[in-house]
Amino acid sequence: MIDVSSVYKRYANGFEALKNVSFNIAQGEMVFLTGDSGAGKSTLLKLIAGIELPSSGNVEINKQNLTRLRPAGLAVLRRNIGLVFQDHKLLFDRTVFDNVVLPLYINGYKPSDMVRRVRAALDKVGLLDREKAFPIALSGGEQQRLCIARAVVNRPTMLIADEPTGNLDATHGAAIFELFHSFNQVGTTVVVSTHDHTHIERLKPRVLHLEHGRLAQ
Amino acid sequence: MSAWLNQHLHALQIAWQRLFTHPIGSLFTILVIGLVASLPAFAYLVVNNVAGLAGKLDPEPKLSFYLKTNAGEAEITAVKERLNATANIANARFVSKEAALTELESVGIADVAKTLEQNPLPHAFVIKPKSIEPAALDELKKQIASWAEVETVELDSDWARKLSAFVEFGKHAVFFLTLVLGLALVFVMANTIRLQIMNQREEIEVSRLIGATPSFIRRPFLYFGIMQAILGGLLAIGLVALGIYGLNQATEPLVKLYAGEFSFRDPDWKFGAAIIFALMVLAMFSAGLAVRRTLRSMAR
Repeated sequence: MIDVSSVYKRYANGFEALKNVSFNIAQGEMVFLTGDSGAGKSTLLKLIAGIELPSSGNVEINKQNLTRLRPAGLAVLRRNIGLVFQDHKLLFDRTVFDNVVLPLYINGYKPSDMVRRVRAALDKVGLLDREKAFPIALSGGEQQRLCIARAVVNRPTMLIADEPTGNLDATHGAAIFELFHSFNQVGTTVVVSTHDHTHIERLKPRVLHLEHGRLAQ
Repeated sequence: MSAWLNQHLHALQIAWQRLFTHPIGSLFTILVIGLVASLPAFAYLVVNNVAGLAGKLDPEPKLSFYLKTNAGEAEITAVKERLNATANIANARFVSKEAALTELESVGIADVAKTLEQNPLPHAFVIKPKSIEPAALDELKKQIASWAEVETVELDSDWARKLSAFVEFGKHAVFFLTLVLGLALVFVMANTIRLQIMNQREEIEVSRLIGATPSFIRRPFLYFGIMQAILGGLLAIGLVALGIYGLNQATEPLVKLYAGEFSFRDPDWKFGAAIIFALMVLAMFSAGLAVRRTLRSMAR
């Protein structure tokens, strides 16, 4: 499903974030990307999501080379990828419901289907009773769960999360990882970057460890 | 309902909401569009009306000359003989003073004619020359003016030609005005939409990350521009109609003076539709330009 081969990523300031990174992730796998801050975890996830392009090497999703995709093609590919950001990227002038419904508008769902799917996603993350609230009224953990609800409302085949529990306490962090585990149980490929090893021991995912931009064996 | 239709309905809904998010800003933009569009539209309508009037006039040059008021049958015969001997004449028509008076009565100033004690009009000839070259016409005019029986000679097409030339100039001026103001409208509309995009930048970035295509992002801005264009166009039509009404009021005494029935034509539905269509095209172009430029500056 995800094929990363010989990827290098150099930024304009000369910093080399990734060096000769290669790996494959199969459909339905749950993979944790680990490593210290600055190891290249976020950069790698951005490359997989097509937000950035590699300096050299290839990133393929379902046999589609992201470097060769046009903007419209990339957009269609992203509809099958649920993205969970560390900074949530919520729209603070929209209600919880309106934040979650956005991917469904993009996919052209019928209004009746939208309501049903949004409520199902909010129910899954425990925010159904907050659908009319604005994100500013939510706690950090609730905002992260809202971001997850938006990522999964479209039932994507892949879920990518960058440090989803970075700003959360242990209890809320564990709840978020439980959610990812449950999505993985129904066949969703999950790729999560984290440096929290407690969840690795509990959920036993495949682990890819990055050190100074290189994949450690 | 297809996904495509749902997406368009959603874009329409967003565009309609954005129109009222900043009502004062939207109102000013619509006012600017209406005012700017009304200028060339009004000028076009005026020139077109005048062109219609010019079209009814005979642009073929004709020479009219009037005999002295005391001229009798002998002078008329002498002039006819001279005309037959002149080379550059295709045909000549004699208009007696009695026929001229009857013609004058038929164009609506019979009351004035009846008050006269005697017919003040001279006998006249109307000549169609063979050559309409300016030099040949001048030569003919000079030649006839030199005849002793002739009081005055007039080249009838002079003012019609001047009017036609003025209309041609007017058409060019309207085209240039439309071009310049159309360009100004593109800048106004593109700038309004660019500001809208800046306000929605966060939403656009999030939408792109979760799978919005460039056309999905562009669509609400296109509809927003089209809505402004339609409202601005309607305003322009109203302003043009108001201008034409004012012009008709102002020219009415002049037209009555010449016993004519001319009036400036109000903008019809075809003209209105053309204005709105042109503004919609400009709006779509402006919105497309603004979105393309802004999206290029954003992340992939």
